[in-house]
Amino acid sequence: MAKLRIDGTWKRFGEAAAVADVSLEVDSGEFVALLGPSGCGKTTLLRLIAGFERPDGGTIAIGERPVADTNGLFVPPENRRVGMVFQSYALWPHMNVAENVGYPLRVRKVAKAETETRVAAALAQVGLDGLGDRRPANLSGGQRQRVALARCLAMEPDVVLLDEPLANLDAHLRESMQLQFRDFHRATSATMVYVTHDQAEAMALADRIAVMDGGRIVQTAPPPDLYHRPATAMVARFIGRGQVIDAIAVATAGEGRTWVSVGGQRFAVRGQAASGAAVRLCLRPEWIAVADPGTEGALQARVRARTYRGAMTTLELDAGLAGELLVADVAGTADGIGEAVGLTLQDGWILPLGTG
Amino acid sequence: MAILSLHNRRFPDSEFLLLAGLSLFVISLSALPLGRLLLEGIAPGGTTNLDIARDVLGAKSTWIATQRTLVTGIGGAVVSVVVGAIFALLVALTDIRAKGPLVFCFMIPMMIPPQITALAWIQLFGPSSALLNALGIAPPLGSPHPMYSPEGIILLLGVQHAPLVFLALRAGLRNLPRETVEAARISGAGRIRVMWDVVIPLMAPPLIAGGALAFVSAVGNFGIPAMLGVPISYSTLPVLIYQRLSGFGPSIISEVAVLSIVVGLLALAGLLVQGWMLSRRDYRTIGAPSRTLDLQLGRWRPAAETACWLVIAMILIAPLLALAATSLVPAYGVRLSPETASLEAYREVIFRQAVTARAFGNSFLLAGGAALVLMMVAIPLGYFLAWRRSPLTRFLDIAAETPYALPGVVLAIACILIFLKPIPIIDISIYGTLWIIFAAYLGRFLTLGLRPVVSAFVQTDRALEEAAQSCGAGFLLRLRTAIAPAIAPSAAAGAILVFMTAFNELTVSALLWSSGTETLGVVVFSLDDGGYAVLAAAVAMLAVGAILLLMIAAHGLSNRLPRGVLPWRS
Repeated sequence: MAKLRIDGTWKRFGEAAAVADVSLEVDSGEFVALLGPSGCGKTTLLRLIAGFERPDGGTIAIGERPVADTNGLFVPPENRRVGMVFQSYALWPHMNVAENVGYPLRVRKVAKAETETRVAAALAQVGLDGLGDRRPANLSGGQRQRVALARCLAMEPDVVLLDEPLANLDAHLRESMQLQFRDFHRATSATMVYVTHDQAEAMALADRIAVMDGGRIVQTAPPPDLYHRPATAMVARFIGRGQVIDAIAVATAGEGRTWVSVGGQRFAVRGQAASGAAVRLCLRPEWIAVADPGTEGALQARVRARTYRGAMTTLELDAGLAGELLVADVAGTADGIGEAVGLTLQDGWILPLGTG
Repeated sequence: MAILSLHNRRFPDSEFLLLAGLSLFVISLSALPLGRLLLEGIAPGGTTNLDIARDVLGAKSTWIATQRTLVTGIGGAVVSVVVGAIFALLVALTDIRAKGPLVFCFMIPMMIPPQITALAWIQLFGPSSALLNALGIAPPLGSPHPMYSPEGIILLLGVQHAPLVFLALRAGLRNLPRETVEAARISGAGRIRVMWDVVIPLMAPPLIAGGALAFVSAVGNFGIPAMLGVPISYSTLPVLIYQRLSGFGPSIISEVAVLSIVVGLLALAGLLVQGWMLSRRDYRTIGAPSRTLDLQLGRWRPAAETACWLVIAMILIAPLLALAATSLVPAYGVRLSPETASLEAYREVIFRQAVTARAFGNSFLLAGGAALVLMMVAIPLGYFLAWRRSPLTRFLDIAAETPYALPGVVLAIACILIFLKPIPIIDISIYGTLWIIFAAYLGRFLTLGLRPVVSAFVQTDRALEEAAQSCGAGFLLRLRTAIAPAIAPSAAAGAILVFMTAFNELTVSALLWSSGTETLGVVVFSLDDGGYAVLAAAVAMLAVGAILLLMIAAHGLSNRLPRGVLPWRS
């Protein structure tokens, strides 16, 4: 396994830049997710790494070996030792399961006996032992995905790329395949780059997440960091049903915290800002606590909508904040629509790049 | 059965009457003649008697012709598959330039009638070639002509039908999921390797289908083996049928009926082999088709482009130049030069020869009439076939397809059988008149006019009709005012295809013509047969010019047509 380094890479389709000045380092054995809304350039970035697209600028190196640079160096995909799992699985219908999995070895002229052992081992690792004679058409969606994974395993690549591999599976299967990917990563300690638009999937799987928007990487961080300390409003909103509201910094509160004023009340939140500065605040539904109306130091609000979710109830609350509704999760069932409540902020995060 | 599906309507209403009329049209021009032909095979003259069938099937000449039909049919299909596949792969998968003109030129051989293709190639090679003589590189007089050989027949059949393979494969390649190729690339396979391991195996269905189509077309081809095989007494079955019929007349109709059933069975066998090959394996690909692959040829691109245009030059430009050269010499064998070149042959065929002028008129009437009638029939028939499916319409669909799928001689013989005696009730005989050729054309080319219309219906939202219906428009009114205008461009394209094909048709008219009802195809064939190569070339040049004009006219319509209606449009 090898590390992957992308430096200042550009890709334009006509006038539009699909990937703009992207730099990313993935350590050997690390699992990085590329996360973003559709059209953000994450799939193009993956295809640049694979070699299916030629970059318009910047360098890409796998291990110590550059595979694309500004001097016209471009290693074709077949020589990059990169494995890829496709969204549509891309199994060849004219080959059976074992032939599909063994194809990378056949191309590399690996001896027949060794091929058989490695194919069998790869199939065993994804839990498909004994299905080598089947045709892809006779497999379920989950099984097809496992074959695609086994094909990737068998070639022992330096880097594994996964392009929305779970997008075509139903919700139940998706969860069990997530576990499979995690086991796969633990067992092989492969360097993996995983493209998804599903933030829960990225949080569950990745060591680090690179959030992309408009062709650029906005923030690269481990999932808890991304959740607790988003860099921009886009990241805050995209992950964990984040909400962004305006506030005024009032004073420092020590231990990296700051007093801010929201709707006339003072709350201590994480992050730094100069006193008197207008700031943007990231709030999570579980960071907002609901109290009785009239509670000392609480924002006064009315319940606009409630959604019962089982273990908790989600409330949409109007606290008179420039028309923006706040979303809060409260335990159990909750007050009815129209009722008055008091709100306190248990936690909050001042966006360091407030306008982003 | 359609009657049942209409049980809750006012009865009989205009809709029912229209469907009944269309059914009568299709059945009397397709199912009835073909059924009559089969009956003739086992019961010649109306009484069950297998003697004739036994005699014909026991004759040595039948088996020699069958064997030659198979040899040229299979050989031609192989050439078609190789040439068509290489072109389709290059056009669909790589970044060669000028794909539009390349495809257009590659399609022209399919549009040029086989007897003209053969004539052009005869004029290209051989001791008397006006082109080679003008360049001073003709072989010496008396040396054998290379095209008069089984190999020459195979080559021309292959060139003529390569576009069929090309079209089938290109359609398949357009639906090839890009990821199946990328998965192979990332597994370590280079471009050539991907071709062999993934693209070609996955393209087996269109290759097999295109190959089968090329085989069936080659088996039924009359023009090429007639022009190239007759001089060396190398007869395929369609040629044998023609020779028998023109030698002995309708008295041996029972005998040639058996022969044409054999031709039909050979074609059917080709289609059955195709079905069997396709059923052996599951070729369904998973994943949506996406942007076409743009394999970069890099430094190979100029070489690939040059090779493509060299092939075009060989199969299209050189033969047509040879044809043009021949049409310009004052007499066959005279060396062509600026001083000797003359338009005398054109003057002769247009103004002086009654037969050629008449043939132009006949072909124009036949092709124009067939195009017009079939356009009128195709719109309502396409409506029922696409939007009102029932067991009856499915039967009509197959019945409309069969006369074109089967070799032309089969329908021609079937038409002779059914029209030899006066038509019952009205008691008029059309045998020996233009009308029998017209009837055969209507049956044979119905599917050409119908297919673009059906595909237009399939792509049109039926709400178009339902909106008119909710406004209170009755069936005929909404067919005329709401449906026909939307379908009209495709119907026009179908009519152009019918006209182009019928204008130069030879196989059917060669068996049905009589003095006074010669068609253009027949005239080219007989002029060459009679040794008037220069006049034949002049007529052929005029015919090719007409085809090119029509192709360009249809091309102008192409923005208003559903994709795939015009075969040569990329």
